[in-house]
Amino acid sequence: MTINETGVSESVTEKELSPDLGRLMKTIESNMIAETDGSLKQIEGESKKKAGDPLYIPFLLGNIRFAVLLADTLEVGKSMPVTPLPNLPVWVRGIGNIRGEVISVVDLKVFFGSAGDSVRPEEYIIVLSDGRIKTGVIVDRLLGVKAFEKSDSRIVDNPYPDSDIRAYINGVIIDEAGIMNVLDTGSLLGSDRMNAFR
Amino acid sequence: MNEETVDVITEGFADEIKSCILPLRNNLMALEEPAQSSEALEEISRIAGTVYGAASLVGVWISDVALEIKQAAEDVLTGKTELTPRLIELFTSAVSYIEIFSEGVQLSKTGQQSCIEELAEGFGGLKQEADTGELFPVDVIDFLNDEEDDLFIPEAVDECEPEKGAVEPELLVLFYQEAEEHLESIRTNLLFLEGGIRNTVTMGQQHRESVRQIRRSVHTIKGAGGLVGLGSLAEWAHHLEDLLDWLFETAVEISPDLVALLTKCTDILDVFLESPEKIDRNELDTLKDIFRTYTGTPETGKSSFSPEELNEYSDSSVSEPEKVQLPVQERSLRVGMERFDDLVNLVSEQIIALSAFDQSMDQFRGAVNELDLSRNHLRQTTRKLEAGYEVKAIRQPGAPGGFSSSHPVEPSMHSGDSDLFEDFDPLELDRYSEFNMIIRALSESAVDIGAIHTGMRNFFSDFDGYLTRQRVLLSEFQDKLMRVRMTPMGNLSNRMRRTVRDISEMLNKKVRLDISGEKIELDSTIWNKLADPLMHILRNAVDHGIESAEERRMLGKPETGTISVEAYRQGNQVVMKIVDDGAGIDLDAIQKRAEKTMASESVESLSQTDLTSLIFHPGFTTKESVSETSGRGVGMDVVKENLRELKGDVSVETIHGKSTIFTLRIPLTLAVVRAVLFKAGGQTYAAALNDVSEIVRVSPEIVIEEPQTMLRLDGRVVPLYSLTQSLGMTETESDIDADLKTEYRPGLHIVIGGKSRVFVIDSLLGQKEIVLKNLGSHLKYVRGISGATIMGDGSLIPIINVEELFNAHEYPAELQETLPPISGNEKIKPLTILVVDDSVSIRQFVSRLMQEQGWQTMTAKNGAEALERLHETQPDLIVLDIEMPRMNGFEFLNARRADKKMAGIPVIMLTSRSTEKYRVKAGELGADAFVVKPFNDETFIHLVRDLAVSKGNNE
Repeated sequence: MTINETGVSESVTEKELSPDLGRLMKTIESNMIAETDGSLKQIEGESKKKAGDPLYIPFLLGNIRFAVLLADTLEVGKSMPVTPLPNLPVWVRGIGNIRGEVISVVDLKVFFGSAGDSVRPEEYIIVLSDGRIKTGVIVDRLLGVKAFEKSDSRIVDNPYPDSDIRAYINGVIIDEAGIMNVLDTGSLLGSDRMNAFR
Repeated sequence: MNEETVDVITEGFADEIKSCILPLRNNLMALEEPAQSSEALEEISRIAGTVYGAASLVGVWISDVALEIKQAAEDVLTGKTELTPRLIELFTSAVSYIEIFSEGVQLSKTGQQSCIEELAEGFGGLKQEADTGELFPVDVIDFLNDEEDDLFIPEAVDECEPEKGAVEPELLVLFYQEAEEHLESIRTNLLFLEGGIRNTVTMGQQHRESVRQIRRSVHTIKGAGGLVGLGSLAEWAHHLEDLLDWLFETAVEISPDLVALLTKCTDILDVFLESPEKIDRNELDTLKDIFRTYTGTPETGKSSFSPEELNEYSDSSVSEPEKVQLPVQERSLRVGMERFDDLVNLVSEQIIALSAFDQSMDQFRGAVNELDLSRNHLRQTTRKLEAGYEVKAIRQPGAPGGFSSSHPVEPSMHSGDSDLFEDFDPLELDRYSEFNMIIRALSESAVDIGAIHTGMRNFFSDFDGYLTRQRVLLSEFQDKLMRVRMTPMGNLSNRMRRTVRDISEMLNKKVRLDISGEKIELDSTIWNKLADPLMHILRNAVDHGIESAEERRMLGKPETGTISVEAYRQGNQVVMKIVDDGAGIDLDAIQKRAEKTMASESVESLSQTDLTSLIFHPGFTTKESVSETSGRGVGMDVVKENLRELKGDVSVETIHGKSTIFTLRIPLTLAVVRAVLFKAGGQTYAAALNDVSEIVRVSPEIVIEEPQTMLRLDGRVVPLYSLTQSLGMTETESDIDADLKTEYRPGLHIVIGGKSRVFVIDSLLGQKEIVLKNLGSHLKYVRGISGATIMGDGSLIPIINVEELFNAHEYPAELQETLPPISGNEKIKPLTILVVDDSVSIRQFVSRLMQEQGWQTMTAKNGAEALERLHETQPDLIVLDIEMPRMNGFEFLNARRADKKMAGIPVIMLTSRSTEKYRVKAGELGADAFVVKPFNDETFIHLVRDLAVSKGNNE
């Protein structure tokens, strides 16, 4: 984005701006965008649109599709900067700041036993809560919000042959694009691994 | 009567009353002059009448006072009574009641009533004197009728039916508050008596005064208690009052036993107020019998208590003039903790928001300075243009290649000028070409930019000033807000005294508790957290510390042991010292106990400080048997735990046979601390400033490398560590002194418990007031980190838990992690587990899991390294990965089979390969178990334990 767009007089080109002033302008600009756009969107009310079927948030981990109940999520959005902490397993990235609240950030792929990619170009975060623990999980992509009939078919195939994530999946949803593993927020957040930090 | 409505009406009415006070006072003065007295009396009577009318309309108690004045004034006027100095005195005090009322001071119901009664009494008495023969003064009867009729109806009802419990809850709340105050005063007086009376002594003037004050408080509690329907409390107070009456009026001597009895009775009053269901009737009866032995009253008569007697409590011989203790009650507001915490959080947020300002202000300042530079540059260029080219351009107007001619923006004007003044030499007449105009414009804009710069600079300094003011206000606001939650230690002293008294009575020891620094204030949430640890330390001091009276005599110590609790402020901390003059901590017993529970070699090397700090270890006790008071080994670790939660610290010193000193350090506020911000390993961290004793420069010449990296510091040698390594942030064990050879680096000098350590960091970022936040609901505990703070730009900075950082090297594996909880028949020697995995996180995770069980761990990155480790020590079990560089798991298993010594060690394969093929192969090679990642912690631990123990037994 150039300064011209912001309406600063034409005679001053971006080059001539001192680096500090430029940064200041950008900070102001980005703050404004953040406010209007909202990089993290609060999801509320949407769930009331369709009363019948439960709403899910489908997402990708690598190429595998997952979904989590909208009711279990507090927020979704682009991942925020994460501050690493010492003495934690690799799958805990660290802590992040969501509007003044500190939450842990968990790399779900690493948690499920897949070697973590070095750096993914863009990551998304889903803030999950079971009423007791609140944590943000890093996923590769978000696929919107969809309503599905209640999934009751048991999981048939383990998407990660290298590890056992059965414990954290409580069903699959089958739609036109294939199958989707439904994440069981309760058993994920209630698992011993998640609760090793007391 | 609804209290609220009364309050509302009363407020408006109070103003009206206020206007009456001055004339009343003036007329009272006039009473002194006999000539003016009758006129003044008439006036007084009139004004009092007005007040009475208004007050009785509103229905406030002051109407009775006014009526009293009016009646008395009229009595004098009609000659029924004489105007005596005593009467004027009464008038004055009556007026002052009205004044107190008009000032908005709320008196308790009993307070009000005693005022009125006192007046009625006084006026009545005078009248009786003047007018003997009349048994009961008319006005008093009137007054009583008035009261019954319209003014004190609810109370009258209560008085008649004290036990029915139909008491307004607000009234009860008021009563409890009032009773609390009185209990406080009773205790203060009892403490005075306790302190002054060591033997039976003759009652002195001061003793009597104390007894009188106690009696007054007990009396008030009795009266008020009866009014709000707490009949049994009132009854008890009544009995106590009898005893006090006797003590005040007839007793000649007072003994320590008697004081102890009074203390006990006061405690019972306390129980009545706090949890009446716990009252032991039999105990009361026994105590009553004891009272009788003192007072000598037979069981019948006065000591049987009836509701009617409640009315009698207004008997003036007992009722001390309430006037002296009319406390100007501060108006107060009860607010829930939650609402208050919200406020505190908001202030914290505000501070964060303000620091965002700070950061932008720095950028702003930079931009303004840049602007100044650019302006100067512009000005210089303009000047150069003016000096160098303007004249040239003038000299050759229109010349080819000349500046101005090449820019014929407005040729008409230009050419016209040159035609007209051709005969002038350019030096004789300035001619302005287009070029000149441009230069002019340029220099003008340079000036304009200069003006803008000045303006911006002014704005900046204005902003800076506002910001500073904002900061000051905010910190003041925060300070004030925090102070609201502050309560003095005095609130705890009674609990401390009672604890010590109870335990010492139970153990039949004589102990005195001295408390100093009762005014020291701390956040009330901190006191709540601190109360249990304090009581525990006191209990311990009485039980373990102070010897029995005989022992003390033999040792030549005074029979009564002394425990002193001293609180004082030290910098940003409150320090509490609990000192007893008992036997001190039995270090030998600790040593013995420690030997039993851990590998013996580590125990012998323990210093005295190490040994004493063992008492804070969970499950540690030196008592062979568990008693009711102590010895369960639960407690001192809780003390430590609570202090840790408060970001505080507890330490203990002991002098054998002389004393034990516990020192608790508590930071003053929890939410905001001054911290030092620094970078280490490329990441920013914060550490509370009061945890860091100083910041040192670590330069190559003061570093000693052998045998351990140390630092020469003020003539001492201090161990030197890398902060990131101590935290476990770096995976590669980089050599810190390699860097140190070439450059200066800052280091945090930390002193805990007399030990000193320096942690090298990358660079310092400065000091800042930071808001402590926890790490969220998920990461409740992260070793080495006590919380995080949010910077103005929204980034998070971890706050170092300095104590854990310090101890990362304090107890290397053997001591800190391995002292197992003492329970049942568990193997006392801890298991040693070798974790072989190429992934550092798996190594860490498994190690941590094992260490949580109190086991020791070793790690190896691959099979080859594991073999090397096995030559050094023999673990009880190996946790083995399959795929590893240099030597994989299968190869390792093969090598293990070849060695007899190693073959006996059980192996658990821990791998992400779940396929059957791997499982079978591992089995063939002699692995004892096969676990697929991720695994269930519980089952894994069970598996490890079972395998290690069964193998161990087979050998």
